[in-house]
Amino acid sequence: MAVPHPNTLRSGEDASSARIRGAQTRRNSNLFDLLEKPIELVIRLCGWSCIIGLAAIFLFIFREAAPMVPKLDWVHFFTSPRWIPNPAEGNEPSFGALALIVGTFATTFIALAISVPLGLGAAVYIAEFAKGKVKETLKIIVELLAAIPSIVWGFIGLMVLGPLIKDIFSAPIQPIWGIFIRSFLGLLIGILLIPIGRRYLWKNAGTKVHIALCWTTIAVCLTAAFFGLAPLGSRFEDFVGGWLSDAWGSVMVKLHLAPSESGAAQGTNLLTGGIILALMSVPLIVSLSEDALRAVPDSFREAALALGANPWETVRRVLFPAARNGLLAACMLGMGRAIGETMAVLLATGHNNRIPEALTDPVRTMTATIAAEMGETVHGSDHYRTLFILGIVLFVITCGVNIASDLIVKGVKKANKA
Amino acid sequence: MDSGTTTSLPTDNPFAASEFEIRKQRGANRNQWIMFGFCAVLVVPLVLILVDIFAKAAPVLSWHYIWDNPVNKGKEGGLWAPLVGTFYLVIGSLLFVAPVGIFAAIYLNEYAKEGPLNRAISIAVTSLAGVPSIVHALFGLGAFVLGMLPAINRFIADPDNPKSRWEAGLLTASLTIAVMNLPVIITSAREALGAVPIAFREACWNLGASRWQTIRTIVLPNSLSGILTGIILTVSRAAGETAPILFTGATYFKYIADQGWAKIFPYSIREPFVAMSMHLHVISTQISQMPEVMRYGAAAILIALILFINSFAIGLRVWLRGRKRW
Repeated sequence: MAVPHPNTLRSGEDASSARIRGAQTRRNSNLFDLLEKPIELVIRLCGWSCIIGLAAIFLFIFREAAPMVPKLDWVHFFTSPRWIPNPAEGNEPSFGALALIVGTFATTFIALAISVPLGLGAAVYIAEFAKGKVKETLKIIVELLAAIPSIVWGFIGLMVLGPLIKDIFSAPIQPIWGIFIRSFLGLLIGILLIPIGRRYLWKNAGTKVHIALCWTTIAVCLTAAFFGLAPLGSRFEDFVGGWLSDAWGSVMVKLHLAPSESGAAQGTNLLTGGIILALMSVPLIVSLSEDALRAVPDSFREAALALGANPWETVRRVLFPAARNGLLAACMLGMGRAIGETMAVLLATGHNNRIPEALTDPVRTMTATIAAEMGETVHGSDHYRTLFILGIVLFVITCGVNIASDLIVKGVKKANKA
Repeated sequence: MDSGTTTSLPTDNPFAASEFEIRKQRGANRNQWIMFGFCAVLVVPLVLILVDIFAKAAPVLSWHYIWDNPVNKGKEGGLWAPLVGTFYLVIGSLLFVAPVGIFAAIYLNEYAKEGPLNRAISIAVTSLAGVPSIVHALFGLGAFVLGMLPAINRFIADPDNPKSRWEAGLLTASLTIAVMNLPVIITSAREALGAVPIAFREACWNLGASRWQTIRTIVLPNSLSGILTGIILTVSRAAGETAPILFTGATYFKYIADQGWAKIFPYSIREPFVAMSMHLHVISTQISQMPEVMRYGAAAILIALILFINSFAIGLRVWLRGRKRW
């Protein structure tokens, strides 16, 4: 934070002598220095630019939405899933945003369910366990992941992940069984490989290169088992016979994991969108939680080690409680990102304005609705203004999340000072 | 990751680990592996996906693909028009955001005193960083396209000549992207300024320099490379964003000249343009019967562009860390 400059008024000195002292210091001045006062003014103005920007965003969005605010049936807006902005001749348009709000929060929930454990685990590993080159590499990869634009994530959801999800969940019931077999096999291979590798491969390994090679092998095997053994899964299916998968399928339908009639009709759905959003918010969660963990003073770690705790106990009993607020704030910012994401969900969640009933139902979010419909509306129509109202709702939600997480982090700083 | 395998110790060793400790250690090792597994789950499938995209794009990747204009709604030809559009969009947004962002960082780091105003500004920075990109798009539409352009047209445009009107285009899209990138550049520039030791400033003040002289001659030169890293990250973000330019100037297709200077300077700031991210959006969702390879090609080029810009920033930072003298 700024330190007082010597030119500021000293105690026992009046303003004029301070100015003289200041003027004496500016004898050898060039054009830039002569412009000091105006430049300072500009700097001050720019310093307030973020406040101005935030206020302007609210103001201009509200200006477009304002005529609709008294006209809109707000109860209907928040409780009805019927979003029919352009009805057939003679019908009243219906602006019920419940399905959109549910869609937004459903995708966000799935995203968080995946990204919070993944992100926290990866952050702990990077901050506390990884060393040297591995650590640097992982950090760089996380940073590069954060840079991939949302449209590319959407593209991945649409073209790569979507077909995969469709394969796994489509054609009523059987492939769900397949994915369980596949993940089970992958896990089994991984679990088998780890002790074998520990015993024979790198117990006496001389170099870190060997260790890195072993890790890579295991990681590749795991992923290959997960993604690549699909044929094996379905063959096992044939072998076991239909009754088991039928029973399993009915359980799935009861648990709302698969829709009853046709499986995943399309690859872009709630689950695909959730996974894509999770992958998008993980880098943010990882980097922020890593910062939070690094902010815990080393004396905490040393004290834990001195008490005989092993690294994992240190993490769980000392670092997690100490960095609790920072980790929470990281997750909240990840949530804010997932709520506000537009292009990825526009491409990857499918377009279906219904409250989702199963994990693989296509949904629609508030952001995607704005992006998809704004281009087709007439400026000044009710539909157009309602889209701006959706924007205000989004703005308020994300600002609330951000300010709350900021307050949580500040709370941590105060506690550390005390 | 070398966790001592304590099982091999002789049992009469008074320092031998107890059964309980061994189990504990095993649990700790297992948890460590699980966390490493999380990292692997994060990294490996993504690397595979990226490799997959590049492999599927391989048939079209060539210099012609970059240098040629899209033909027949992007079903044939290359990516030149969107690439140039992205380039000008990035330059335009930097012109607005770089000075304002750096000045704001200077204010926050060098001038602002602890207090409610400073607190409000930091909250505003984090809030602005969290505003969804589609809300920025609505803001750009409301403020620049519907607010600023009519005002410009009233003064500049000839009412009888529709060609002299300013439309939503490079100018409005750049402004929207600039507002979106403001918190990014403020945060990184502030970090760079904060890394300059306070002793440098004090030494300069003791030589009689004013605050602005100190900033201009000591603080900025010493933090320039850090600020540059922040600017490069802004560039990558501006190049990748789609939602904010959806309604503020980007258009689906625009045919630009195939040769001559017009190929390099195709857009005026007052007419719609095409950008890389928008092009990818359009060809992967709006056009039916688009050859898959063209979609993958556009995605691969965009990913390569972004990863290249970011690697450049990372490389710059690593190089800087190596030659830091304080």
